Amino acid sequence: MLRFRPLRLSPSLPLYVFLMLLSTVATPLPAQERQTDPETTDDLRAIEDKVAAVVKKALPATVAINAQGTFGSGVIVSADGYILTAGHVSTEPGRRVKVILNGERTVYAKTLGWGQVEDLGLLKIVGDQEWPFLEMGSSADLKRGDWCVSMGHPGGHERGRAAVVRTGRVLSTAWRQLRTDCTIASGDSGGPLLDLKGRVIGIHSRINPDLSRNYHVPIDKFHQSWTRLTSAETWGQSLIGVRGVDDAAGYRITEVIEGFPAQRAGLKPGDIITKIDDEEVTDFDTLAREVTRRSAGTKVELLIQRDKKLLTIEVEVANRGEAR
Amino acid sequence: MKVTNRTRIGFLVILTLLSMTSIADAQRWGRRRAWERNGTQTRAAFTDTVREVRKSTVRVEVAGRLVALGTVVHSQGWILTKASLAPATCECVLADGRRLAATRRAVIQEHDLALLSVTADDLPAITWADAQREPDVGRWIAVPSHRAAPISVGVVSVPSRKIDPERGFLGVEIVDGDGNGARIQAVIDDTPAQRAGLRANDIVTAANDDPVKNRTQLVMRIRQVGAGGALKLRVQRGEKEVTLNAVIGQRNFDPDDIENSGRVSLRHSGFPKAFQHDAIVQPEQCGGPLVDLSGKAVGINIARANRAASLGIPAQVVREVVQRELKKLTKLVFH
Repeated sequence: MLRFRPLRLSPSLPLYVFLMLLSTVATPLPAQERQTDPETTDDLRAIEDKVAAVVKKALPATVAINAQGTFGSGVIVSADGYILTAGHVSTEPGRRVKVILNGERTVYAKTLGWGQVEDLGLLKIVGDQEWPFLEMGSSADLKRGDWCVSMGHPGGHERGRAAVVRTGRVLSTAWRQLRTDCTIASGDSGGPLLDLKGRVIGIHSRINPDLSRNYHVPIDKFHQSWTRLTSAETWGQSLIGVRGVDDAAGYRITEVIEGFPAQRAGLKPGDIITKIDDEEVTDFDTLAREVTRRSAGTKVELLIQRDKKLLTIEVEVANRGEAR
Repeated sequence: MKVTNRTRIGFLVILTLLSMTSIADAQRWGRRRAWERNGTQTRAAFTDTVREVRKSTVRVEVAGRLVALGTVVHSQGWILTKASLAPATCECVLADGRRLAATRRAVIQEHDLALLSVTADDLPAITWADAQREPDVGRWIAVPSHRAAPISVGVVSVPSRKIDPERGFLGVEIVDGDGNGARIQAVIDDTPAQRAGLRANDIVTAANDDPVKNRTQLVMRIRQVGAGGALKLRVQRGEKEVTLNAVIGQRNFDPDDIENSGRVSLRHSGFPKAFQHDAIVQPEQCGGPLVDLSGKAVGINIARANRAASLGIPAQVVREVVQRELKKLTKLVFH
């Protein structure tokens, strides 16, 4: 039986957003002016002509991936056969996975780096040949309302069905996330989101039941981690596992997440983190910056204010992928 | 205006109610902004595109409730719709406001199409796009209704192909029945079996007129017919013999898929030829025409399949089916 690894779903969204927050020093993409909206048939025809050209170019470079029973999608981005996909499709480096090219030809690829939090994955096709590929664009300049094209294999690869084309607009670029109304589904994970010039601007990552909530990894995250990806690194994200709110005294914990280091160290809701090692904690951002700077396994001393008493608690920072 | 405590509470109640409805709505549709792909403003850009085809689009209603959309395929009162949504009698509401009693005259099971007839001889028949041209991948598709703007817009996602039936599902537990049939051990609630009137201890002796000797043979039949197909069952019930008609359903095994797809058509697979598109519609909004930017019909919107897919039967297939069926039903000269 086919097993699809579903795109990440809504129940984990709050946690995911929290982790995303931890993983970035919360600098959202600049919110810019929206692209011009189509008003007439001619406007629509202009978009349609571009979409049709993108599809022609993108079909040969869009692939289906069968990673030992996990079906996903991917896109070839270099003539020597690098394939971008979602981290949750390719997972651990060094695996051999099946890649089904347009026209049903099957080749093999090796999995390379895995960015667990950002959901980054990279493959390299085995075999010397020139492969059809798409250019990696940039996601920094994306604007709300930009038209885009989504390609992939929803439901997994289906014999006789080419990559499935969908259109939509960029709805949000806030929190370094790319959200569109290109409806993607299980099996699309790892497939490309393209601009109207046919450049890859995102990789399909996860959805929410709301049909307008389709999330893609912004392509810039692949650019930023390119060396780690090509050198087959696995990396998660350092965290201690708390949720909370900013407080006059520091960062007040409202929830200690089960199975994460903060819980093991005995942190409790109501505790206010005032210092991490010798750095003053004034708000979430300062805490997040300090935690994410440290690699997994590092011990940090937190100065905690609990019931008007100050105490020091040692917490070992964990990798997101290894926690629990 | 003097703001009393009572008016304050009133405002609060109204605000709460408003936010409650918007939350319920947001769960499926989010806060749809006008400029989104399916927002009001984007759809309004298609007003010229659907201006003509709206006149040939029909609302198929039962007791004032929309059950399907339909397409006028001949001026002499012939309307095409999705068979699995169309009851034997219904009402057809035209774009000009006319409300006409309709009778289902033919069901073309393999395509899930049905022909309805109404008493009229001046209906605005649909204009089909060039029969030879298949809708190209990436080209706009609009789903018209009676309003100025289409219900939904999208693009052609996959060229026409055969859509295999998904595994059929009857909803029974079956055991061998002493070599002369398949015995129904139990009937599961709210399944095709229950709707067809099957009962525990019934012994199925034939399916679609082929004899059934044991459990395996019945299971094979259900699979062959596939989702959306009709299965006529000859059943031994005590001393009596009865004939039951079941419409095979399809079972979606992945609850995540159900949650993320929203409402899909009961029959959304098993079509000899259909192209895939990404316009989002509700199941009862199927059965009407699909147009490209030329404003001509490129097909009939036959199913909402899942989050990422809707299906259309290409114009050429529809035209052939309609001509063939109308020839059987009437002596109309088709043009």
